[in-house]
Amino acid sequence: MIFTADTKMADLVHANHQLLYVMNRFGISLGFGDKSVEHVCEESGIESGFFLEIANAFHDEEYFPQKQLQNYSVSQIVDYLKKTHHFYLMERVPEIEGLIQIMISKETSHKKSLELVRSFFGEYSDELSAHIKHEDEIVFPYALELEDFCKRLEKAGKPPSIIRGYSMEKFIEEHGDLVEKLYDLKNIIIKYMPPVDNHNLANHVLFDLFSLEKDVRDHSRIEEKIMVPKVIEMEKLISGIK
Amino acid sequence: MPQFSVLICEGSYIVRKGLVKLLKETNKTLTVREAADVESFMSVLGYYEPDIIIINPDLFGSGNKLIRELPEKFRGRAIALSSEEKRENISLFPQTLLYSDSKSTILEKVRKVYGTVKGCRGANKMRGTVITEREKLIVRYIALGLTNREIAEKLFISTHTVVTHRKNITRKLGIKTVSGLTVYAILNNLINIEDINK
Ligand SMILES: [Fe+2]
Ligand SMILES: [Fe+2]
Repeated sequence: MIFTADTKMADLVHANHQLLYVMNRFGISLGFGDKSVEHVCEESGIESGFFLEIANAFHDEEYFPQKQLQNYSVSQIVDYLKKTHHFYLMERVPEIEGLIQIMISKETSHKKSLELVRSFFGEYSDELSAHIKHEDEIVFPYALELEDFCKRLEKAGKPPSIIRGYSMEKFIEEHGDLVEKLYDLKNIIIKYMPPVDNHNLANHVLFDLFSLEKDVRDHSRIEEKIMVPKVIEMEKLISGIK
Repeated sequence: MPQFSVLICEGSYIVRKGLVKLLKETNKTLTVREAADVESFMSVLGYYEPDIIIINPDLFGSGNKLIRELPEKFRGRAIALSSEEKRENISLFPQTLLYSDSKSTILEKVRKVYGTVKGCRGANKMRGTVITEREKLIVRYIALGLTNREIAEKLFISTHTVVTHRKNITRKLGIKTVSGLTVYAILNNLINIEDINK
């Protein structure tokens, strides 16, 4: 299913409730009645074309952005991606850490095993932070500077140094998928942990891990499918004038 | 009667529905899914793992590499469905159903494939998901931080063999990373936490 401007916003949530995360990041709140995507976006001051590209790429792995719809800016994409990063580090990860912590405090017989889970998740969160830091500090500034440079092309001289030191090719080469450890952690909890006291909490942690895994995967895809082609286009433009 | 699942990819509505009806007669617990073209067929395969696939190779076109990959992936569990005997790519399939086949011929051919499926299931059970003593030892070494080469030297095997063991371990346990294997090793008393810090 491909979402269009006429699709009802509510239908997006029914089709894939993970899209609620996307809506949050765009600042769209619930309660949209039967309003269409276009209508809701207009009310929230969002470009519906851009929202749809993100929603579709997020929802459907096979979706490929359509050329005619790509009239949004890199700064819009970066803004969205940064919000996602912030959400992972400031909300998602602390939330899961908190749940594991509560599990440990309530556990009577297998505290040690749960400590292992906590430290394993800690390792994952370090990996995630490093990945995000690299993107926030190197990749995004590069993309933004490139866009800025392209805007001033007529009067611009040589590309600034940051542009010469990086490329999207390098980004794709290094870009990890960040889900291996989550996959392992899920299996450890599902298959290998001794039975813990509080099943409900364990389920919570698992649901959160499943959802984080999917979210992170979809996020990486948006970086690769929506940001990368846009930036490569600009790289081509610049290498043409050099 | 064991349960089987079949996915059919055939463009002709009449042929497809006819085949579904016939297959259901052979086995009441059969689950059948249908696709009228390659695109929907592949999208079903994305989330559904049938025991048997029955496909009309004509739908794929000669340049499509899927038509080579699918019979390979499904081995004896891929059946071609064709309007005539001499069509392209049919030889890639271990079994072919022809439009002109009689009911009994079709049933006979399909039953043979059911047999293959049963065989596969038996083999899968034998292979199991329990890791061997040898693999346990390797998990222990991995958790202790040894490289593939170091493990190979300790066990007097080639690094290539170590890599194969590691692949099997990952497949059986569902754990890919070194830190994940370390947690597994501790939980199963293959090592002590103190060992790692040494
Ligand atoms: Fe990212
Ligand atoms: Fe990323």
